[in-house]
Amino acid sequence: MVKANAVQAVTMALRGELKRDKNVVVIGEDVGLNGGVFRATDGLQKEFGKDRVIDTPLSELGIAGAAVGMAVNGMKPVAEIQFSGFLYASFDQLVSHAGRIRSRSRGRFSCPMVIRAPAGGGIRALELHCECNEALFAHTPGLKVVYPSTPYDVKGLLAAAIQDPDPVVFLEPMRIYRAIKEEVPEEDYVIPLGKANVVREGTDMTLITWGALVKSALQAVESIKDKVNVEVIDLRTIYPFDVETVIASVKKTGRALVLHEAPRTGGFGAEIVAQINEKALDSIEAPVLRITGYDMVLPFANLENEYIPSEERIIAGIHKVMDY
Amino acid sequence: MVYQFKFPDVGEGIHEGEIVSWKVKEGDVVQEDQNLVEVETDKAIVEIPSPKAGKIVKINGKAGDTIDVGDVLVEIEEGSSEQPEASEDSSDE
Amino acid sequence: MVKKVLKTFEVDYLQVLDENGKADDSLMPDVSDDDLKKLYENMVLVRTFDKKAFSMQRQGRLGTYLEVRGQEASQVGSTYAMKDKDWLFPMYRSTGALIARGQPMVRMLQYWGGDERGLISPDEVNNFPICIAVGTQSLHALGAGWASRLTGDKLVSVVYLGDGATSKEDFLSAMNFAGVFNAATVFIVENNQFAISTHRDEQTGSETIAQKAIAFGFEGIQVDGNDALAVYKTTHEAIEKARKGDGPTLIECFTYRMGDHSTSDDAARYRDPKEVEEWSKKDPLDRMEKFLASKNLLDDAYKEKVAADSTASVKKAIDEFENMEPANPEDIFTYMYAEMPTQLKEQFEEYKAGKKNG
Repeated sequence: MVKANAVQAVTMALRGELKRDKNVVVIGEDVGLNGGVFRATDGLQKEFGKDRVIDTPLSELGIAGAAVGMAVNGMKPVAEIQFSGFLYASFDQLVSHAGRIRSRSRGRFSCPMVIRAPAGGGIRALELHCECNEALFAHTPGLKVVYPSTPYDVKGLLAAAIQDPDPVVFLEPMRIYRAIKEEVPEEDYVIPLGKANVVREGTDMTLITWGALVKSALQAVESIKDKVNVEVIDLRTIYPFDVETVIASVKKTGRALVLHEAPRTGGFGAEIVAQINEKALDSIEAPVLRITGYDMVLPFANLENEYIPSEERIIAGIHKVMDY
Repeated sequence: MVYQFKFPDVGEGIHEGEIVSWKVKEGDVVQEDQNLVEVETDKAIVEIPSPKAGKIVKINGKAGDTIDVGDVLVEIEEGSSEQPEASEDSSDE
Repeated sequence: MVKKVLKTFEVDYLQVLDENGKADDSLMPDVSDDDLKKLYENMVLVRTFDKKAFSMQRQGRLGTYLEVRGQEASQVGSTYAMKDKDWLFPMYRSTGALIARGQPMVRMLQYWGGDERGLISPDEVNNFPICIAVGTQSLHALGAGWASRLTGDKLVSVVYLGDGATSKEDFLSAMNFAGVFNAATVFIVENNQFAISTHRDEQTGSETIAQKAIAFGFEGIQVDGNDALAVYKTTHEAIEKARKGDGPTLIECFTYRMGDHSTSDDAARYRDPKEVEEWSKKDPLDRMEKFLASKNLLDDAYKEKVAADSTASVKKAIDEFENMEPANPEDIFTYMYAEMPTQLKEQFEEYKAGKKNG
């Protein structure tokens, strides 16, 4: 065991995979010599060499497309995109190709790549550095989307993503990169994709969330635990999502709320509400609410906290569901 | 066996075309891929080649008529036993 | 204080076989008589297939089709230089390259007929599926060629592009990465003078496409794209260079798109029929026939046999295609992921239940 934050957990996962599988290669801007702008790949080039941890020219489209080609030809590229907003430049190669290679070739070829980026706001970063674009990728057939919330989860899920035979978009919550430090096993382990985590058991209602908001949700829920006993589920994987765990919980508690930082309309919360509607209508006693970002670009630093769901908004949402 | 050759969608979602000129007439014996007719669509003027070898027994429409995708263009009696006689405009170049 | 010339550049052009079928012996590639005949036979096969496929589209037997007419030498000459497991990254006008490289003609018909099974590569070769988005395959070929350098698998990735694709970001990025990482990638740009209606001169300010490689740190060469021997020679050299680890090459095959852009296009709207007429005098098959005849490798009997054999092969493929069992509709679910994820599995059950009841 070692105490690690989320960034260090990324490094640990990458180290483990680089050791385990010689076909794993890390590519991205400033990942080699510089160890990554968040230091996520710190020390790896020194340890594994310039042929395993590779600095690329400045092209997110190039990085994503090159990763597709490398994955097709037998490697397991883990591409770093410096900020989630730059994934838009990679978009075409991910949507038009990464997710389609297997189908297009009827299984003759596949694309086992990972593309990872820091996501979410709350650190007063510049624009396009804080996007929450999980819904865009969840809506893209052929991709898997993972959004961990803690250092322990980051390490296990990233290892699983790298070992996955399909392309994975791995969004890392920037806000908790250094905010949480916890015990992380030094040995290799995987957390299976597609399995949610009940991080707090409860009886009165179910709160489903992911990423940096898991911490905020737990804090909010703790602060009102005398009044409401909320079960908190960390989805961990957005696509495929663990609908079974969510439905079992909602059937047990009878009330639910979905919390995400991404904009409301067309956000992944809508999908979860639709699933609860289809599978647990008889069990719920109140409409399932969503507490989310608004349909807007993330405000600049000074006003970003007006956008990101605060503990107050989360608590208000919980009460609204309970009071129905 | 009379084969009904229907006007196909020759251009990604066209619905109709206008007959420009017929390259064959009823009674002609045609080879496979021999040009039957010139049709103008929104996108282009296209030549339609015959899918079968045989005798043209019926031609539908004359120059200037509009024909819808799915309408029968020509009826061909398949596998004529005589040597195909080249009509004036026949050529498969 | 200094003002000096840091760099000048030169771009080479190669033609081995001229329009009249006369070859420059000093420039001949190292090919046997059998090689020459094979090149000719493959070009005839491609032309025969292409003509028939176009016809079939007009008859409603095939969906939208894009002819390769005029580009047979660019595609057959270049693929002839590839070794079995080398990677072929095609574009949508690479039917000739794919057929020459062992993709069964029936599969090409399946593809243009709307059936994904058409893109399945035979096991003996690595024929990547066609993707329609222009130029995107250049990054895939870059990635694969880069991987070859890292793993040492001694394979080369050959990617086909049109002149229009050279404006795409993917192409520019791929060329740039290729120069940095010495990727085992050969970029073949078939400059057929048009991107639908956009003439090559309006596509880029560069005088040649070949010279774009220089900006990225490697060699670009322009060849007569209608000369199978020049295409073969240049591609062979580029492939072996890449295989040795000496990096990428850009080959610009200067040729002409004799047909319309696609079966939905009408090139008469934007180009001069006189230009088409001029290019028909540079036909790749005509000159090859003249050359073979001059070497006593072709006479009327052989020519007729090649034509007849091609027609028969194409007919066989068409018969197989038109009598083929349709794909299992459940395939649409099966190939999205290695293992069907939860949501898709649920939808699959729903789909199957719907089929049973509906």
